[in-house]
Amino acid sequence: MANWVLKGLATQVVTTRYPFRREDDIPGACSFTPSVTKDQCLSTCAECAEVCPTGAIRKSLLSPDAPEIDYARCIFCRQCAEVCPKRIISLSKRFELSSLNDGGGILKEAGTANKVRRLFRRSLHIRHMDAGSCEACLSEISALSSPYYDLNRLGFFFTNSPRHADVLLVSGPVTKNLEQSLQKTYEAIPEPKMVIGAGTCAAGGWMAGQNYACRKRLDSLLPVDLVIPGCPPSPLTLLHGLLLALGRVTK
Amino acid sequence: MNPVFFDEALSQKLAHASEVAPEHIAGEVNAADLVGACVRLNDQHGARLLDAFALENQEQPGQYLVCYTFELGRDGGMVTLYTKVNGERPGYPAVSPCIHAADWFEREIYEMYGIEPAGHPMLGEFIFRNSALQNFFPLRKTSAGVIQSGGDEVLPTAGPAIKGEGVFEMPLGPVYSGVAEAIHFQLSSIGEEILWVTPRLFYKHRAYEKTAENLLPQQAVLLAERISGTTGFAESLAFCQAVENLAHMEVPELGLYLRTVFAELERIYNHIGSIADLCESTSLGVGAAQGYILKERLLRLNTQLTGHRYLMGVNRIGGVRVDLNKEKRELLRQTLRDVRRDFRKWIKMLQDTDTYLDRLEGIGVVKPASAKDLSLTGPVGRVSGVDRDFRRDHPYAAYSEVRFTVPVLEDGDCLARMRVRELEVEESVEIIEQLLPQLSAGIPANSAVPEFPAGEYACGFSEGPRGGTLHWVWMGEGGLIWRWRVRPPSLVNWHAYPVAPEGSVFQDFPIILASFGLSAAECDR
Repeated sequence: MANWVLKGLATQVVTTRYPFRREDDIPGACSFTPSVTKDQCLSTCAECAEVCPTGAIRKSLLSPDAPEIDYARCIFCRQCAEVCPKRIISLSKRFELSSLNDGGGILKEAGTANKVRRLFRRSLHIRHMDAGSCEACLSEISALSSPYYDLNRLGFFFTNSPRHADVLLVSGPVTKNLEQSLQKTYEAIPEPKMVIGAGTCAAGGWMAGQNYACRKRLDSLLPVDLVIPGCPPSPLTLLHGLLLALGRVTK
Repeated sequence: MNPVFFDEALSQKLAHASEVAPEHIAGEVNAADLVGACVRLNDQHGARLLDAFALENQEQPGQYLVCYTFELGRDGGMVTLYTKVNGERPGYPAVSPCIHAADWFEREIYEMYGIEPAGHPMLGEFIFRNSALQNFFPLRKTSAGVIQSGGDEVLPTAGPAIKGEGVFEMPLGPVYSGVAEAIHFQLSSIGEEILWVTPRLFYKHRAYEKTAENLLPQQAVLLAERISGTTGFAESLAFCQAVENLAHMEVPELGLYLRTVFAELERIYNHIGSIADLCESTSLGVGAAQGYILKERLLRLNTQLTGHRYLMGVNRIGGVRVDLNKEKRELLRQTLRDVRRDFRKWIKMLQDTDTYLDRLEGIGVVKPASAKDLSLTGPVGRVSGVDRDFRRDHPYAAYSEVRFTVPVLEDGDCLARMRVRELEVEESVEIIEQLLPQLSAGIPANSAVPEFPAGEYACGFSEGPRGGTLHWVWMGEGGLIWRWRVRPPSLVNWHAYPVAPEGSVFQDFPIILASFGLSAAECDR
C-alpha cells in the first residue's frame, strides 16, 4: 500500500481550478462547440440549417441575420461548421452552455430560488439517474469524480440513496421502461429538490418523445430546473451547469 | 471457397445460395430444415452463431425472413441461413434448444415481430415491461408512431429464479448505487454464495433500429455512434462499412488508415477505463485514480485530433471527416508514447499489489466450454479460449496492412480479463505506431454521392473494444433505410454473464461485473 501512497503523492495535482480560474485553454477538455461568431450572414444561404440533423439551427432565408443555434437540441456533429461558406459558424472551445430555463422547476420563482440556493450553496448531494443514455453522458458524469475534475472540492457529492439527495441528475431520453423508476426516484428525494437534465437527450433532443420506446420528454414528466447541453456534456460543462443552478456562477 | 459448398448434406437443403459479400454466402432453407442445418454448421463445421434476427420481406408484405448468421472459423467466412414465415402469428421451430447462443436472439425476434420460435422455453417479458405493449410488434412495418397510452411499467413480478430453504432473493436496480447504468439484477444467494444472477436488461431500449427506418444512411451514422457512446467509433465503422459495401463505394487509402487509427484509440481508452473501473470495484482508490488520469489524457487527445472526446462525428459514409496534419500526428505519437510509459508503470504496480490480485484471481470463471456454447465475443471471450477477432479473421479498414497478435488466454477469470485488456492496449499502441509513418497525403473520404438502390442489402462488421459488432442494412425506396439490424457485442456477452458469478461470494459481484466491462446501452439499443 505504501507505494500507492507514494505514487499518489508523486503524481502532481492535475485538478482543474475551474471555476476559480478560467480554463478555456485546457487542450481537449471539451468537445468543440459550433458557435456563431458574426452577427451578419448571407441572406441567401441556409446550408447550416439544412445540414443539421436535429433541427437545432434556425436561419432565415430572407434576412441577413446570423443563424441561431439551440444548444439543447444540438448533437455537436459539427457538420454546420463544415458547410458554412463564410465561416459564420465556427468551432470554438466554449463550454459554458447551460442557461437557466424558465421551466417548471423550483428555481422558477425568485423567492424559492434564493432559499434553495442558500440551502445547497456549500453542499449539494446528487443522485444520478440513467434514463436511457448512450453511456457517453455516464462516462462524463463519472469523470467528475476523477482527479482531473474532483467535484467534491466544490461541495458536490454523488449519493447512492435518493433519500439523501438534493438534486436528481437525469441523463438520457427517458425510455418507457424507465418512466416509472424515474418517477419513484423523484418522489423519494425529500423537498426541496431540483431536477437537472444532462445531455441533449434529456434536454428533449433528437430521440425523446419520438418513438414507441421513448414516448415522453423529461420536462413533461418532471419539473426541470436546468438542462445542461452537450452530446455528451463534457465534465467542465457539467460543473458549470451545477454551479449555475446554485447561483455560484453567473451566466 | 466457402467449405459449406462442399458439404453435400447441407448444400442440398440450401436454395438460392448466393454470395452476400466475399466469403459470406446466404441461402434459404425450409423452416423444417432450419434446426438441422444450424446444428450441422455448429457441430460439423465448428461454426459459431453470430446473430439471429428477422425482417419483413420487401417484395411480399406480411411475409417475414428469419435469418441466422454463422461464422465458420478463422479462415472460413460466414454463412447466413434464412427461412420464410407467413401469417398473423407466424412461427418456426426454435434453434435455441440445440444452440444455446440463439436464446436471446429468438426472444428478441418474438417481441419485435411476433414471430414465435416454437419450443423456446421462455418467451416474452424480455424487452417490454409494459402490459399495454404485449400485442404491439414494433418492427413490423404496420406498427408506427408513438404509443402514448398504456399502463405503467410492470416491475419484475416473476417469482424467485431459484426456490428452496435459505435461498435469499435480492433485487438490485434499475436504480442502484453510484453512477451506473439502468439494469436490474435478480440475485439468488444462499448465505454468502451466489447461486444465480438473472440480469434484466432493455430498460434502456431506445428503438434505434426502428428510428433508423425513416432516415438516410448519412443520418443513421450519427445514430450508430450513439448506440453506445464509448464504442461509437466501432459501431459507426461497422455501419459505414455495411453501407459502403451496399453502394459499392471505395474508401480512399488514407480514410482506411485513419479509421484504423481511431478505432485503436477508442480501444485504448476503453480498456484503460475498464481496468480503472476494476480497481475502483476492489476499492483500490489510488490505482483507479491513476487509471482515470490516463483515460482523461486519451479523451483529451481525441478532442485535439478530431474535435470530439468520444470520436463522434468522425466517421462518414465513404471515409472519415478529419485528416491529421503533421502537428497532430506528432502530438498523437508523443502522447501515446507518454501514455504507454505511464500505463506500464501503473500495470506494474497493480501486478505488485497482492490485495488487488487476490480479489481477482480465480473469481468469476467462464470455462472455455461455456464460452464456446454461448458464442462469447471480444476480450471477455478471448480469456476463455475463444480465439476470434474480426480484425484478424476478416480484415477490414487497414488491418491487413499491420502486424499484430491477438492475445488469447484460457483462465477465464477476472485477472485474465484484466490481463487481456492490458495486452490489447500494448498491441493497439503498436498498431498505431506502425500506421503513423504510412499515413500518406490525400483525401480522407470519398465525397461521391452514393446511390442506394432499393432492395439492396449488405453486412458490415468491426471489432470494437467490447467485441465484434455486426450491422445489416437493407435499403428501401427513396434512399431510406428499410431495415437496420445491429448485433452489438454486449448483447451476446450479457447473455453469458450469469455463468461467471455462479458460486462466487456476494462481495465479488461488483468485481465480476466490472471485469466484464459490459454496456447496457449497447445491448438495449
